[in-house]
Amino acid sequence: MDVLRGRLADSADRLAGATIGVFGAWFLWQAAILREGPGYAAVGPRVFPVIVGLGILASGLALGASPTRRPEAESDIGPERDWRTLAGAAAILAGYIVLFQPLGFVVASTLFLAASSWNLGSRSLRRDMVAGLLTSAAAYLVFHTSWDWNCRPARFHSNQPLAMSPKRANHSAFQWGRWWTFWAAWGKALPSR
Amino acid sequence: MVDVLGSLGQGFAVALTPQNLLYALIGVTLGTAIGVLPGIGPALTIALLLPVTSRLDPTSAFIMFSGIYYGGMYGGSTSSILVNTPGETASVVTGIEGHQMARRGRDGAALATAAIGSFVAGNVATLALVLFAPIVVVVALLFGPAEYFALMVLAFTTVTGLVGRSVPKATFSLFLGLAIGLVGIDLQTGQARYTLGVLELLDGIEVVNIAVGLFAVGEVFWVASTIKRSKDDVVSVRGSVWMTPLEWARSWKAWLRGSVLGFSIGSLPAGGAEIPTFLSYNIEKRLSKHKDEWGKGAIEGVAGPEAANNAAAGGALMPLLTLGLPTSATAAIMLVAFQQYGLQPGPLLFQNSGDLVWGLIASLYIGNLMLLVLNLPLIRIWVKLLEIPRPLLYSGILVFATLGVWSLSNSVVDLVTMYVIGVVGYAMRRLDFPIGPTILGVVLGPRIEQELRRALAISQGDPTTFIMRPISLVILLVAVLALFGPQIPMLVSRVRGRSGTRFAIGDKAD
Repeated sequence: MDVLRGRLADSADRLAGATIGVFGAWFLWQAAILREGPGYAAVGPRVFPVIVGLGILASGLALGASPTRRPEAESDIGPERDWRTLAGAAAILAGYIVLFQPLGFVVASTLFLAASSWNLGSRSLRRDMVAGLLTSAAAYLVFHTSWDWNCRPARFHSNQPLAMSPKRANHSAFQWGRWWTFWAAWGKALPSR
Repeated sequence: MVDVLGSLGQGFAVALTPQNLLYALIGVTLGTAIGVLPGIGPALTIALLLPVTSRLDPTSAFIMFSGIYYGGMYGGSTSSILVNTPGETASVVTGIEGHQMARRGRDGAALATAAIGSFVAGNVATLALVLFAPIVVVVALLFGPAEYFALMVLAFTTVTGLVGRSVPKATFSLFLGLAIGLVGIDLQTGQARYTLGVLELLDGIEVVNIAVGLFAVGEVFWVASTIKRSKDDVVSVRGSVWMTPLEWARSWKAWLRGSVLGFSIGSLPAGGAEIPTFLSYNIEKRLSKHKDEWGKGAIEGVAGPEAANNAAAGGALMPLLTLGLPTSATAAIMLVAFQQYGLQPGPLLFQNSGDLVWGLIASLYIGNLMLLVLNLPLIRIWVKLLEIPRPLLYSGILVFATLGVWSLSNSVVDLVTMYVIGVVGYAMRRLDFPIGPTILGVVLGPRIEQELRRALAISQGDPTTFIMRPISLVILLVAVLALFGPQIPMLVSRVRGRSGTRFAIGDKAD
């Protein structure tokens, strides 16, 4: 059995080596067809990609030529995985990404958390739905408020325009009034910029 | 010396303002929580917080980030002692003896030696940082593009030579990161590279998406493929979290040795926290007078590695702050944070942003004190986190991660990128490829290309510049040694006609 496992690990490594080799070759080809462009540079945009491509190719070939055996400790679960749960997780996450915008993140996240937990073995659906609602509320609080509410409190009282960060120009300072957006997010997409 | 003390004093003035104390507290609390929870670490947490903290005062943000980094190291030990799954890779070794101690009812002592050891190590590392960083800064001022290029090559070779068991695998991980880092517009010529015609990729792939993909999505897929076949062996905290005099006597030397080891390796331009923990474990085992206890819960085996990983976290701040060179995934993400604020870590940072650097260093002392309180008297609160059902926990991590990625640019393309990288991350995990080098490659890739171009522009295209400059040459020679050094015993024995095994740290803890 151990011999068989070793062989399986070997062939997996050889396959990975071959895949990496193909990826490296593709990467080099993409580098080769890069146009140098009109601007002058001592080292053009092609040099570093070529180095990286060669590195990928070399590591793939080296791995294919000398596959490494994994120690027994890591394979105590056996070579066969729980493919059904894994496929479920992959499908549920894909569904989440697809439904993220049309359903709005609160509904999508609650459904996702319940479905994903079910897939991973949880059997208390009601608890998971509540947890989903709380998690999406918490995540909203973290990611859709700026964190400077206690740092420049004067802003809330002054009429001066808020400084905008270039990346997130639509985000003003934390205001409780903005919470309506959270509730408005029920059934529709997040306010996009 | 007086200079340094003055700067440090000023740093304390910065760190002790109520606002910065609050951010330190948020940081260490969050850090401990994510350290205790499996499947989520400081690198992912800081990456997710990057966009939301972009308008925060940089000093406060970095005080919080380093609190998360340190807190993650403290918290990681809790889960590796009480559960058989460690919270962080740096805590894997702690679990070997720590979990055995817990199963034999010595969980209180194991947790105490881990927390106090972390505290000792954190302070030793911060002290060493204060003493050595100004010296490194002076040396670093001599560095030009060629030397920085050589340093990054050194970082890359040590990472691939020492991490994991297989050099080809670690090499691929690194080059994959470099490849991902290449996506987007070449800033020097305006040429789009590897964008596959997708408009959204012209800006490159955000490091947040990559971290989330590799650490969160890949991890959840991994968990999905194993969760129904594995059982967690959670030990609850029974007695008081304290040690007997004998345990104190056995712990303190291990703490100090671990601290020195952790800082000295962690502060090298290619350290990381995993290697010193393995070394510390081996050294303690060799020096121990209680050899029969090893494998059954020897306290030195918890004290040493746990001190080593905290000291290494402090050590990693040295190359990060003085050279702008990250040596761990978390430090790499922190480098991105610096760039977000338009700051370039390096010798000039000490001159131009003294308040930030010294405020950050001073906050490490404060953070350590907070962490000691959080992890000794309040440990039971953290243990409660381990009771969160695993399916809920991992699903919740994905909700947070997805919303974090979404909030960055409101783009479905970003979510799809995250998903694809997650699939790659799962495959890497499944086939035993290390993930740390990938993050390092993503973050350092653009920089090493830039330094390469600068160096060659200065030398007018003459590549010998890298070996004609003495500092650069020495660094490159060390890099070659780091790459091939571990192979030498094998080559020697192969020449002698015997089969040899490659020396790799972390191969087997023996």
